[in-house]
Formats: sequence, C-alpha cells, structure tokens
Amino acid sequence: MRQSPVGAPATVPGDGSPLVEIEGVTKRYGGVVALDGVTAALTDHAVGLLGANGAGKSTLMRAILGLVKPDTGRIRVLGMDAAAQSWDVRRRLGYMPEHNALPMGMTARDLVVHMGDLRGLPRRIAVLRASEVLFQVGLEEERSRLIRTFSVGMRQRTNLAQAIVHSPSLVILDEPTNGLDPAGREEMLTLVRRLSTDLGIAVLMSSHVLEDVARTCDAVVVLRDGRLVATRRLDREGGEGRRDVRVRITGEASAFVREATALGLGVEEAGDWLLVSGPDAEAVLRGVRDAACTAAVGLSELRPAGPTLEDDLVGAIG
Amino acid sequence: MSGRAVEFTGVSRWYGDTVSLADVTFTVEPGVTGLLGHNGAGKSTTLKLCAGFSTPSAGTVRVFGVDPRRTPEVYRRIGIVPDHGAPWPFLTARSVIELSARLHKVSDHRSAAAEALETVDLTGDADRPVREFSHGMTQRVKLAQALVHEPDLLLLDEPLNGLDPTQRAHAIALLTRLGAEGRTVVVSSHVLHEVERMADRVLVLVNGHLVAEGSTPAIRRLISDRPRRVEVTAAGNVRALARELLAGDDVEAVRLADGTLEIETSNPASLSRALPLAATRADTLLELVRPVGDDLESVYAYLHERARGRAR
Amino acid sequence: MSSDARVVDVAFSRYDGPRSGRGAAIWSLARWSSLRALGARRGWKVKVIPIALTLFAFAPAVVVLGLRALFGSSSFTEEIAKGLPYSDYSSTVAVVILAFSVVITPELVCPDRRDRTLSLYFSTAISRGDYVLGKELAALMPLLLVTLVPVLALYVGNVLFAVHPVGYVQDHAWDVPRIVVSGLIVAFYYGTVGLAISSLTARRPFAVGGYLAFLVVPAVIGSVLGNALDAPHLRLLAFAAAPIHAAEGLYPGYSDPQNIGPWLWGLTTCAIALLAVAVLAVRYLGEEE
Repeated sequence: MRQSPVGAPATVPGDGSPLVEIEGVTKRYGGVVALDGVTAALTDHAVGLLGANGAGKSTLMRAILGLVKPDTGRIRVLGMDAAAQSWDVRRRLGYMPEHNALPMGMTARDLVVHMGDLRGLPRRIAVLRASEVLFQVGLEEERSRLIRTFSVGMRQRTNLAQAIVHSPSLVILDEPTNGLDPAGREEMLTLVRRLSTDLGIAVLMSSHVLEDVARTCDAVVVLRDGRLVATRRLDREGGEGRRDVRVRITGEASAFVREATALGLGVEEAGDWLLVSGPDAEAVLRGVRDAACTAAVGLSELRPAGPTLEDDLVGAIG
Repeated sequence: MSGRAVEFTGVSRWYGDTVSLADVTFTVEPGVTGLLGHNGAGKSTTLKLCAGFSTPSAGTVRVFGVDPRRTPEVYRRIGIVPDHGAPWPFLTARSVIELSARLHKVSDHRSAAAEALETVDLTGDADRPVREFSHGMTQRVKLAQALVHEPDLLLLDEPLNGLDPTQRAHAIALLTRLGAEGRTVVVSSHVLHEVERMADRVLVLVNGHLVAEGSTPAIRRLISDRPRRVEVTAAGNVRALARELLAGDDVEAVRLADGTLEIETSNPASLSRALPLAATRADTLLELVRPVGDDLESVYAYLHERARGRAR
Repeated sequence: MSSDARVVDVAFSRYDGPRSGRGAAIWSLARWSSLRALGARRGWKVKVIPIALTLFAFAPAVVVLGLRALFGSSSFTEEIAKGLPYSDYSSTVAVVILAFSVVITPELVCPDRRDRTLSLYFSTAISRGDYVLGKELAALMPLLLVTLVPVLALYVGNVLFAVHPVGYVQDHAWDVPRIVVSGLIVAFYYGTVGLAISSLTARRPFAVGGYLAFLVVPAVIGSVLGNALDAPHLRLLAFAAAPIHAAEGLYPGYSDPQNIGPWLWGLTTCAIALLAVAVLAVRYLGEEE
C-alpha cells in the first residue's frame, strides 16, 4: 500500500476540482473541541473517514452537510459554501445516517419516491429514479411492503436507496454495514464500491472496520481528537516498489530457509509465514523461486511484505 | 462439575411457530470458537442456552457437565457479554464491575475489578457514571463485568459492536490471549475477517441448523465439490507459465486475465510444488501467489448457499 | 455481419435536469402528508373515518339543498334556507370538525417523531421552518374541506335555488368573504392547536388524548366554575368553541346569552393560536444540532 505524505491531497486523474474542501475548520461545544483546525481537500471518488469514537467524525460529517456551522474556517462542498448554502448542499448530497430513521408506516417505494420528490425531482422523474435505485440496491418485490416488516439488511438497503435517489454527486455513509450479517455486509460493501466505480457517485464513508474501508475506498482520512492526523491513498494493486516478500511453504521449510540463505537472502520467521528480504525486488523473487525448486518445496502463498492498513493506521487513530 | 465446556446434544428450540434451533449437536473446546450465521440463524438462542437463560425444547445442553438451568453454581464459571442490555446507568463503571465481582463471589472484589478495568483499558474513566459513556465504552464495561471473576467460559454476542479500530484490535488481542490461556471463549460476530483472526474453530448455523464445525482450513478441505483456486501474478511470459502449469495433472483449469493467472486445482499442495518449477521452465518470476476462496468469508458464503441447495 | 439483434445497455443514469426549489419542497411535503393522513396508500380501513367525517360535514348542506330540490323554488323553501344560516354552519358540524382535526393532526407529526424520520428530513431534504410550514398546510387543506367547502357549497346551492338568484347574491354579498374568513379561522385554529399538541409527543394515542383533554377539560371547568362563582367570562375557557364563536361574530345578529362579545372570543382564539404557534416553534425550531 503506497502512502502519500500526510496532508497531500489525493487526486483523481482527469478530474480537477475537489468534491469537498475543508479549510481550517474549528468547532467547539462548550468546553469540548470537536474539530480543531481541520484542513483537507477530498478529490478521490471514495474516501474513508476513520477515527476513534469521539474523534470528530460525526461533527465533520454534519459540518459537510451544513448541519453544523464551524466556529472558524469554512467548508466548500461541490463548490458551495456548506454553512451559507446549507439547504442547497443538503439537497445535492446524499446521506445515509448510522441509525435508521425510516418511517415504519411507509413502503420502501413510497419513501424513496417521497425523498426524491422533496429534494426537487419532478414527480415523474422521482418515480423513475426510485424504481431504478431500488433495483440497484436489490429490493425487488419487497419494495411494496411496509418498512416495518423489513429485516435489518433490507432497511439498510432502503436507507442507501433514499440517499442516492436524487442523483447526488457525493453521498455520505455513516457505518453502512452496522447490524448486517455476513451476507448483508458483503452485499452492502459491493454496493458501496459500485457507487463510486460504476454509478458515478462519490462516497465518503465512515466506518470502524478497516477492512471495509480498504475494500471500498481509494483514500482514507484519519481524525483524532478533532485533528486531521493522517491521509493516505489506498493502493489497490500493490507490489511496485516493494521489495521484500512473505511466503508460506508446503514441505520442509527448513530446507527452503537453507537454500534461500545460501542465495544471499535474509529469511525471518513470522508465525506461519517466512519473511524474505534481499538487495532488490528481482533478487528476492528469483531467489524465492530458485530456493523453492532446489529445496523441493511448494509455494502455497506469496505476497509482498509490508505494513497492512491496520498496522499503519491503528497508531494514528489512537 | 467438569467435562467439556459446552456440549449440545440434539438440541432444538422453538417459540410457538418459530423454530430457532433444529437438532443441533456440537461440543466446544477450550480456545476461541466463532459462532457464525445470518440474522435469525439461532446464534443468540445458542448463547442463551449456554448461559442457562432458557431451556431447550428438545435435547440436552451441558455446560461443564451440568445443566446450567439446574445448577446455579456453574454461573461462577461463566461470563456473558450480551448484545443488548446496558449496565445500571447511574453507577460508575467501577461500581458496576465490583458489583459483578461480588455477585460472582470473587474473594477480593476490589482488586479483581481494578484488574478487569485495566484489561479493558477503562482505568481512567472508571469512576464516571456509565450513562455518560459512549457505546464503545459501555461495551468495554460489559466485557470487564464478564471477565472480573475469571470465568472458564466466556460467551460474547457481537462484542466488537461500536468499537473503533484501535479498540477492536485490543479486543481481538485480548480474546485471543484468553483463548490461549485455556479458557473457552465463544464469540458471535458478523465481521468474519475479525473472527478469523481470533478463533481457531467456528460453528456455522444456517436457519437453525448446524452446517459446519471445525477450523476454517479443515472445513475447506471437506468441501470437495469446489475446486481450489489460486491466483498467480508473474513477471515474464505469463502465457508460457500457464502452458507449463496445464501440463501438470492436478491443474484442472487455467484462466488468463489481465496478466493474472487463475488456476483451478484439485490438489493445492501439489500445485504449490509445481509452481516454482513451472516458473523456472517458463523463465518467469512469481510475484504473487494467493489462494482464493479459502478464507472464512468465502467458506461461510459457500456453506450458506449450499444449505439452500445452491452450491457455487 | 448480420445486425438483426440488439443488446441494450441499461446503464444507471444520472439526473442532471432542473430541480425545484424550496416552495415546491414545502408544497410536496404538505401534499404528501395530508394525503397520507387522510388514508392514501394505507389501506381502506384508514380511509373510512376521514371519508365518513367529510360526508357528515356536508350533510347539513346536502339536507337543505336536498329539501329545496324536492320542493322547488318557492318562498317556503327560502325559509328552509334561512333555517341554516351560514353563521351557524360551523357550530352545527362542530363535532365533525373537531373529530376530523383529532384524527389527522397526530397522524401528521407523531410518526415522524417516533420513527426519527425528523432527523432524516432535516439532514437531507427540508429545513425545520419549512417542515413546520409544510405540516401547517397539510393540516389546513383537509380541514378546509370540512370548514369551508361545505358552506361554500351551501351558498352556491342557495344561489341556484333562489327565487331571484341575482337578488340573492346582491343581498348576501358580504357572506362570501365571511364564509371564507370563518372557514380559514376555524381550520387554522384546529389545525395549529392539533399540530402543537401532537408535537409534544411521539405517540399518537397520547396526542389524541391530549388534544381531547385540551378541548374538553377547560370548557368543563369554565362552565362549572362560571356558574358556581357567577363569573360568566370563565366560559371563555371553552377553547374548543372559541373560533366558532369568534367566526359567528363576523355575521350580523350575533347574540350570546351571557353577553360575551365576539371580540372576546376572538381574543381567546388569537391567544390560543399564538400559544400553539409558540409550542411548534419551540418543539421544532428550538432543537438545533
């Protein structure tokens, strides 16, 4: 995973303007500093927002939505000032709140149409788009049932549908996998990824599960005690510029270690894995291959070595 | 009171017309066991039966050899972290945990409570009332409550819910350590990659039935109607590598997409040995070798679908 | 290469067209809420009461006009018409209006509070002030259906059945504005008071109970105490009837047994209405962030 220096904004090729610009934002609640001089420019299509409980994530999200006016600094969302044009911002953004706030007595379809309607879509368009987003989130016959009868998974999907019905350019998701079982998590994460890759909707996702963020986002932003402490681009491919590898061996590991060391590589045991290091990437890969052949062992797994997202960020999150 | 920590034999549980468990039989050994299943599969029911909060409609439940409903003393060996339920909000965290220690007849309840608070990293906030706590902090109070009497059996229902990444990492480390100490820890969770890190074995429930039991690799090996897949990236003539691999007996299919090979095999160990040799013959360097579909998430998904009669 | 087949790419499209503004949002909320409160999209059982009440509200007009239709245009039927002057219409159907208001106003605001939909609205679609405006409209429109429309219908019917329609219109020229204003006063009062009381709770049964209590209890107290202490002005505590009496004062020939002038009723009406508006402001606008 490649890391960019802290504070350097990530850029998306071919897209100039940032979706969200946060400049020196501070917000206090009584004696508590919720946000402290936060500055960031979010340009990636999928950004993860990480931080400990109470680090300021929800205050930041509400400030981006224009629900909270910063004491100092300002936030521009899609070119609009979030504090001054908060109503417009809220209508142009999508928001999937953490806790369900869905009316139990409505059907999913009615709710989604209603939300589209309220956010300025002409009636016919609202009905059409509601039908489309309900299909995209996987609610088919269920859409004409009352939300009261829905399972957690269906409610979350309805929640997502209402957030995207009005074609927002950016949608803010607060813990979208909360309460979902493994199948539901899988579907939701796939959906979230598709939002930014296929459906052209940028995503700002707040989550406590690093794997979820790694899977769906292109960049992360970490808050701690109201301050922005880290930003990272998430390199999905991985591999370039990496030198060391870790391997899992089938067969006699000690034979492999012997051969690899004889070739001039450094081998270290780490649990089930062997960490192999060498002067450069090619030397390492060649050495691993040749040592495996000579020692007559198998390579059941081979990955680039390096810190995982977790290793990297858990310290930053605090 | 001795014997296996938990033993279910032919257990069924129904409420009116709803069947939550159907003829479930398993044992739980010391170490960390993950309890997995979709919403409504019977996980909470299972935990409740272990804790003695309800009785099976059919079959027997034995905890340390006895029926937990009939033998109250066994509660001293059990710690529970339920999904819902908050400790008394007006008490301080310390008081709640000390109370729990006393209820479990711990000899020195104050120091036991202090230790438990230290374990969950709440010593700093120990004297604040629980109602001021965030969700993550309340979770940790519940965890400390369950740990203070050093139980031999820990039952946890979604213990990581609401915890931030650092707290999650700590909790996973803690539970792993407890399992290594020889305690029996049963954790129900939906976040499978986290379960994979802490649990040696899993129990998988689908629609009230137990569909699998054991470690992830062992379960995977038993799923014989799915070929094992390995993803390989290599520098050099990837097509040549594919040809060399296809020459082998145990390679069933090779797919080449975007410079990556996806290999299907009936014998992953044999493939692993063939790889370096094939790479040498094709004059390529292996950059990435990754088994696909062997992780807990894939195995779980497969089991779930298979239970519906739809194996993929 | 033959081209007698097509594969259509049904891609997810964006909507980049015009979007309507605040006014449309308010109107949209009002329309949606009032229709749902009246039972739209909620099964036929929920629709029965509002429909029945509406019919009852029209009943006096229907009876009068029906009789006139039966007996044709004559001075006899003109007398029938005078039996139900416009000033008395609201008091005749007062119970219906009250019942209608009690049925719809909790439905308009309580579920949003209970399901926490308020937070969804405020964070994504509509501002707090606009929400209150929208709900006011949503209460007003159906209520006008029972406070204004039946009376107007009676007027029109009377014109059509009059011996000299043109003369009738000339004689009763002032009645049309009076009808409209009374209808609006009564509808606004019951609607706003209903919304205010309902905004205090998330549970509809409590709102209904609270509304009924508010309308009945002070009236009973006022009447009993008024008699006991011989203080007839305590009858002004009859909050339920205040707007109706005030509206009656718009018409000539207002009389009251204990000489409580219509402007006193008007004052009471305004005071309660302002109180209701204040409650709404506190409940919705006061809860920032």
